[in-house]
Amino acid sequence: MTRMILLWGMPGDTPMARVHVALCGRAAPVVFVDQRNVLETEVELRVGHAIGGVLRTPGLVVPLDEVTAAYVRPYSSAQAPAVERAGEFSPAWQHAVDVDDALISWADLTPACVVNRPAAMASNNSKPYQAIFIAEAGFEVPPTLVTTDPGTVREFWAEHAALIYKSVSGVRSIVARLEERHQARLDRVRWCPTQFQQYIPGTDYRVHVVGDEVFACEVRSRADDYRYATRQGLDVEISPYQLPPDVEDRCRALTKALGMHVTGIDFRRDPEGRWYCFEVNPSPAFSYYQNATGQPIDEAIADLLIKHTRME
Amino acid sequence: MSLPVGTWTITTDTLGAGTLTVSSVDATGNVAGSTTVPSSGAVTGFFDAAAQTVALSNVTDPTKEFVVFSANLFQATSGSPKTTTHTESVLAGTYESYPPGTPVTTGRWVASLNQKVKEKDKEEKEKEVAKEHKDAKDLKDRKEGAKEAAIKERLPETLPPAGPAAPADPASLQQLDLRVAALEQRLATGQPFIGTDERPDVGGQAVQGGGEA
Repeated sequence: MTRMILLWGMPGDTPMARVHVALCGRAAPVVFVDQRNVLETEVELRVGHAIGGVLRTPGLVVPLDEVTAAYVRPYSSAQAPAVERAGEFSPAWQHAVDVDDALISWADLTPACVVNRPAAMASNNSKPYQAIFIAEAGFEVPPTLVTTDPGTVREFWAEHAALIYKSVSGVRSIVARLEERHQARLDRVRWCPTQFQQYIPGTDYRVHVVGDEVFACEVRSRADDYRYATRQGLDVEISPYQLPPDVEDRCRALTKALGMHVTGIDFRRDPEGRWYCFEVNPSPAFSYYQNATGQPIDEAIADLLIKHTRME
Repeated sequence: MSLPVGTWTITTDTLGAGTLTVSSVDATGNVAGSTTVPSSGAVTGFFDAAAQTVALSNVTDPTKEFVVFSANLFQATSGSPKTTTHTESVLAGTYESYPPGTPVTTGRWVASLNQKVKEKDKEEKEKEVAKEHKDAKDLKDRKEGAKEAAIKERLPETLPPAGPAAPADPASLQQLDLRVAALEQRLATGQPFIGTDERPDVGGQAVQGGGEA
């Protein structure tokens, strides 16, 4: 049986492009399913004792039972330009949604090594749920409040002096400090559960786990959320960092506990040396850190996919 | 006991006082009328005869301010049943006001209506009500019969016969509709604490054809 590695996503997505290039550089048997071609893509799934089927996309016919490893970073195909032009609930939109649904189902059920399975990634959709795994891995979790009650926020604020607020779900928000100017709009928490956490001073670290490999970097910035430091007119310095072995081990264990092969874990180490873990990203945009540190994360992901292809 | 038609005197916590005119209540509980609170305009709603509750709203355009009134009906009758009776009706409950872009305000309201009913009028009215109920019941029976026949046609014969379906209560369904519309309106006007400017586009460039995600 032919063995192949399937990539599913957008070609303009830099992490996807990096992994694609790394696999091609190793002459790996790789097929790239471009989400922009969703309207010309068809998926047939067979579900029985085993899951199989065929994926057809321009220039490619992929027997799904021949896929032994997959790297999936799908966006909503409904956002593809051709689908957006057709409009929501149009036949094109429905086709795009159906293709996404079928491939996500396949990615959850296939015995292939999937980086990462959608069901495992779903833990990131609830930060409080994910925090349970983080605490079980032995990392610190800041005191956290998720609420729709402004009064409770004020009590929590009085108790902890300095707070940050951020999204409860996997929908990204810029992490920001809660300040006096926010008092005027605090009543708005009634409309949507909002997460507040004690502000933890210290230095940020980003750790990428790829199988058993661990790539850590130190992030120095005065910004509340270094990803958006330029909005505050601040700089970011990212450099490779060697984690203590026990922290590395716990990062591997946390990744496995969440059922994933690749993660991007956000930490802050406080002045007392405690490791606070804020989040485990199930589909990390590692290229941002790789550009700054030169760490070969794309190569490690490619090796992981190839290794599973050979093992099958 | 149905919701009495007539012009009620209405008092509210924060929306002022005025009148509530109940023009009609049909056999299925649909209410039509008008009110001067918080401003003059039509109201529509539903009266649940079993629960003796009413829900009314002046909503015509969900993008503009509207109010949903809910209340229980209480009635007391005095006088000789063979001559003339006075019926004091009171609606007491709460309201929710939905101003676009600002938080919902809630409050209490009460409305009262005093009616003199002559014995003859009463008899005629009771006959009318009985006829309305009979017509509504006949219609409902016919509809249920047709629905049951249609379902039976679709069921394989091996299945045991279905029991009587629970009758849909149009007033309750419409009340639910009103509540859902009100909730949707609240959500549409609500502003989350984390604003859109704090929700960056993730991967937009990748989707549109290039760039760092």
